[in-house]
Amino acid sequence: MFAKHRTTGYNGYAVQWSPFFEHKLAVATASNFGLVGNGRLHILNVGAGPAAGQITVERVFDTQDGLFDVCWSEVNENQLVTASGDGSIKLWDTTLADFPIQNWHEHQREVFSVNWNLVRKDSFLSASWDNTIKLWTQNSPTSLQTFKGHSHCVYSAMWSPHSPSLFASCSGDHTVKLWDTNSPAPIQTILAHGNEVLSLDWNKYQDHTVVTGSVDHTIKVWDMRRPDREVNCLRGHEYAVRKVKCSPHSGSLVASTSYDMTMRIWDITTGDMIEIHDAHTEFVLGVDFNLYRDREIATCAWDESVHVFQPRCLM
Amino acid sequence: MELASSTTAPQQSVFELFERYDFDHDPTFQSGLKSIVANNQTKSAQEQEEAIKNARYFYFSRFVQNFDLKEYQAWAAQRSGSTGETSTSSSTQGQSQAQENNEATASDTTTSTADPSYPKSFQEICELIASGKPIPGIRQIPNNLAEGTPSEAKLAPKPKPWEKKAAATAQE
Repeated sequence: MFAKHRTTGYNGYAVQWSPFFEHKLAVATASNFGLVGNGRLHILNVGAGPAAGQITVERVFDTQDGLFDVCWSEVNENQLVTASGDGSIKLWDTTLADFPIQNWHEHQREVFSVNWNLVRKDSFLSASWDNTIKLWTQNSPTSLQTFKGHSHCVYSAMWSPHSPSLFASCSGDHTVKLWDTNSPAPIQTILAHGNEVLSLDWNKYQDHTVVTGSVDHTIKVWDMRRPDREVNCLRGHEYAVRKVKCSPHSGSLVASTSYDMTMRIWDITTGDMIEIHDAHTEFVLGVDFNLYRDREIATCAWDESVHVFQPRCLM
Repeated sequence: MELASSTTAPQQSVFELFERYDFDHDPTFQSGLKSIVANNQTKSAQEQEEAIKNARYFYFSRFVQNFDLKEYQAWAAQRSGSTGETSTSSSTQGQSQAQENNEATASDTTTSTADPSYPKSFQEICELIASGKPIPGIRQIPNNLAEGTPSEAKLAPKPKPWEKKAAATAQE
């Protein structure tokens, strides 16, 4: 199965499968490669069984500025949050057309990631090019907390899947930081790469394992209790690694996207690259594993297309 | 013979149209050309000429009629070879290849870590922004909130695959 959907006029930045519906996929996109111009959030329905390979549009929402990330609410099946180039964060309800139901504007620069708490499910994090991370709840008019410590753009802040208050962040200052919402300062700092760290994710099956992707072309696997040295370094991408995603189904699988126009899947226990998806024709930015169809993966790229398919290594 | 000429004829007419096209009196092309010339001021005369050639091809294939540059170059080289026409077009192909090699070595020495090649229209947009020109197609979206009542959650959170597996292990 290989399904393709065009996001005409909009370059893909992020994809996320719904935590409630196995067929729903959210895609954050920006026109003009996110440099200038509008954004669009796409809610897609991906067919299965006899309808496998069919992608239909449930709804699109347009924004003034490009959208760089999206995450679904973990408590309301119709709601999701987007990160904007103009520093705004918007909460959307797919039952209501055209406009968001909440719009926060506190970050001074581009918001590059949003991530919903996986354990307590009551809040979400935003990471921004203004060097800060903010904590939000959907009902509060302002952010609850601001985390300062990075000396450069924060590209991503991700909740631990095992703890209600622990999260990790990565930055253009080459570090990964570990935080607890009960403390304003980071509890751990790792000099993770020799260049900017664009992405990180938590292993869902090993409590202390975090995976990072960097402009230095490598992916590193970390045990957060041993900050001096990575557990593994995965080489293969020819350009910057834009996104890393740990499989929700296996503790050994990680997917990555890169400016080398590929999405790759790695076995982090052996360090082997086990899949290359090279069907995109521009930078690949977004990737996500379907939570409930365990062989399905979605990717989005600057070639204005979304791919949904079953990688050979998962068959 | 007839077949061959009939299949290549449309392509050939595009190539001829391209060669005859009045770039000098096309105001859109001329305004874009200014920024290209400005951006290549420090380059050699040969590189400047190449930049203008590329701009002509890019503009024509995008806004007038699309064609393949390599096919055009082959056609131009072959034609000049058979008719012995102008010296510039006879060396078009070899010259551009040599220049590609030059460019490759030049970029290797100037940048320590090779940058990925950005899509062509990405460069275009960068140039428009740098030159302060308006970017076409940007819509004004009102900064409104949705009317109507947001939905109430009807579904309980679904256990994640790793939560299901942990629960199964705990029960054993």
